Amino acid sequence: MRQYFDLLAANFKMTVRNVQALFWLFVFPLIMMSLFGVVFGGGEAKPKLGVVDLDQTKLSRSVSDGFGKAKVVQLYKITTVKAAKDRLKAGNLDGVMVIRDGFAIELGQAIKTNEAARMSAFAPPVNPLRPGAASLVSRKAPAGKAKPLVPAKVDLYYDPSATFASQVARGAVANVLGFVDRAAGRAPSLIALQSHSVRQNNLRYIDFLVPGIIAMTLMNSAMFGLAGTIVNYRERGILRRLKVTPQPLTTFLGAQITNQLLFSILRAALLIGVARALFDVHVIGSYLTLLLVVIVGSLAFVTVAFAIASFSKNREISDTLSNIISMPMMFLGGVLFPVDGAPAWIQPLIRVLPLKYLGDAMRGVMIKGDSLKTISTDLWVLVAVTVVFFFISLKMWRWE
Amino acid sequence: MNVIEVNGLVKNYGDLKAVDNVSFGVEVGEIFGILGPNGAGKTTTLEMIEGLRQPDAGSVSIKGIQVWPDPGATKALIGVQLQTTALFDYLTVREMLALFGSFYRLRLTREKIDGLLDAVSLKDKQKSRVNELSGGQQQRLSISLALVNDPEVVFLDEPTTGLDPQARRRLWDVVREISSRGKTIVLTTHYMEEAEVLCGRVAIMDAGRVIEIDTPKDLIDGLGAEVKITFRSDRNLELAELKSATGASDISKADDGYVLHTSDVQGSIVGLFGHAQKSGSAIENLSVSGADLEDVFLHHTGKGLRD
Ligand SMILES: Nc1ncnc2c1ncn2[C@@H]1O[C@H](COP(=O)(O)OP(=O)(O)OP(=O)(O)O)[C@@H](O)[C@H]1O
Ligand SMILES: [Mg+2]
Repeated sequence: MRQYFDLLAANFKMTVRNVQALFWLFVFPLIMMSLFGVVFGGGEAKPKLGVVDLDQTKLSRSVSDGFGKAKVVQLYKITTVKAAKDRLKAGNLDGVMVIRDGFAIELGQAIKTNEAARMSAFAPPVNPLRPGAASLVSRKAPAGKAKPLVPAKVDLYYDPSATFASQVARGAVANVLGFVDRAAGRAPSLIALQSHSVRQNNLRYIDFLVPGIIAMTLMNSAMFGLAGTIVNYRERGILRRLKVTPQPLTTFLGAQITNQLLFSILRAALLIGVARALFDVHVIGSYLTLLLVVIVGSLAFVTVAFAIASFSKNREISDTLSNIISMPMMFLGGVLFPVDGAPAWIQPLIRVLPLKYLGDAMRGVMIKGDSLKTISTDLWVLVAVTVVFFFISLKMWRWE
Repeated sequence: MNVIEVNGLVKNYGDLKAVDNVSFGVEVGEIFGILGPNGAGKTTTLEMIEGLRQPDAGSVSIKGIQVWPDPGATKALIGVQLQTTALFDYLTVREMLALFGSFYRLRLTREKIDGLLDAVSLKDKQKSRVNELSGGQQQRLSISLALVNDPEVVFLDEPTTGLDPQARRRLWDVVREISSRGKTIVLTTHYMEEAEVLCGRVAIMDAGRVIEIDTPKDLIDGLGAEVKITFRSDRNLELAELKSATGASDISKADDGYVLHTSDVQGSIVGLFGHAQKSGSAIENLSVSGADLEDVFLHHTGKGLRD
């Protein structure tokens, strides 16, 4: 065991001192994530607000038109609440405002109640600021006597946990309604905004991307880093030198694997930290489950890397093999962009890519909050990959 | 007493008989040399003893333990320096020694590592990374790595190849120092002076076979009381005429002059100058020396150590 820790410590030192390797291990994925995040992350586009006007009165239309002038949001008029909510959940909208049926009447009553209260006090009857706004209110509404003020209600659906854009949308709605409020006479709130939180399923591209990048770096660091190192050790005769010592092969490989795992975990933590700071990406599921995914995924690709190293005579061959294996996974494994919409004929190919399962598991835990049970199929596939390639590489292992 | 017994070792690579029925024994505490030109089969022989390459036939034992089919049992007894030195980059000399110690389940103390560094005079480089060492320093580190487990037998495969004469002499001191610690050393070389200076006994190898095994002195004496005369001439000399004029036992033309072997130095030199006078040519750079292992090799194979 001590042998193993000594070797692990040595491996750790060698990795840390290898500046070039550190670049590929840490800096490159960061750069990649940031670039993709900025280029495709949506940036500062206007929040998209859906408006459902169930009232269909002059008054309600003028309220929703108010958003058109507000410029901070992009307005989408939608006819049914269900359609709007679906679009919200799918991530095509950042918020949905629903003006209930009877909004105009409610608001009229609220104003009346309010004015009556003010009249009885001291205020002038007409709002000098914006007479037009006041004229929108139905004059036929019966006058009430000292009734409690019941504000007219507007519903807002949005995902509070989600995005910056949805916060902007919410702020915009509150502002615009507040403006109507004020127009109606600087009264206590005549319109009540009732917020409803909705879980959006389809998150931003960056939310999709970060787990994908982590999965991809797990693959690449094993396939290029580890396989290359082993082949390099063999080419330079270092493995033969080890072979004449009593050190068992298992200890040597074990230390290599553990070193790889350590750096995979460090790197995943770094990427998550940076994604959180730069792009406000949050891990919704459990960190412990995530750790397990990182370990299982890393092991799967470590064994693939060992198999590559066993097959390859030299560094060129191992790099070529790694490329041949990792390229399709990078593009078809669903790590950089979703592949669910890919043509049907290519789907069977996608299903045999280990990276697809790792990416799905990672994404499930990170952005959907999946439990261990939900992602267990993905993990078992990765375990199977590990076992198969472990035996292949043991069988094919060459010291020289 | 023999610490290593090698019996009828054979290794074929396709049609090539890389090692062809090699047998010898190595005594406890001796420095045993294997001398031969490129491709003679020195490395192959050594690595079959070390447990790195499996022989096609024959047997090897170290301290009475059979190396094959399971070389595991002898690994702890031996220390090995391979012909191709390659070590982990990014580790320092000290770290490397400690790491190799751990391969033998040993925790090397500071003093132990200091001792190893002293043995190969690398103390001042202990904090350097491997890739910052010169070729000779790497070679010495590689030798010290062969000593971490305090082995009974140390194998050094061409420890001085690629070094300048001064570095080579320093390495000879290192080898003698290791030997003085009571270790048995088996080394290969293509430098006959190295074998002559260092080795108690030498096996001369060519084309996969061992031609002779003896002490350097006996090998040379075996040639008889012959002496080597080398010289240059401004004209082309007829070898057959020269041979009869000088009474040499053997004469040959090298790039830089002529080499003749004789047991009658005086007679040959008088004959040589007589021949030169007659043919009107001048003799230059004449030198007379005792025979060496190069001549032994030449005598047995009809060719030089370095072709
Ligand atoms: N792995 C191998 N495959 C094929 N041929 C080999 C292999 N190893 C050695 N040989 C051949 O066996 C012969 C002996 O090689 P070996 O390395 O033992 O020679 P050597 O005496 O150590 O030479 P050198 O002084 O150059 O190190 C050479 O002709 C070599 O080409
Ligand atoms: Mg050799």
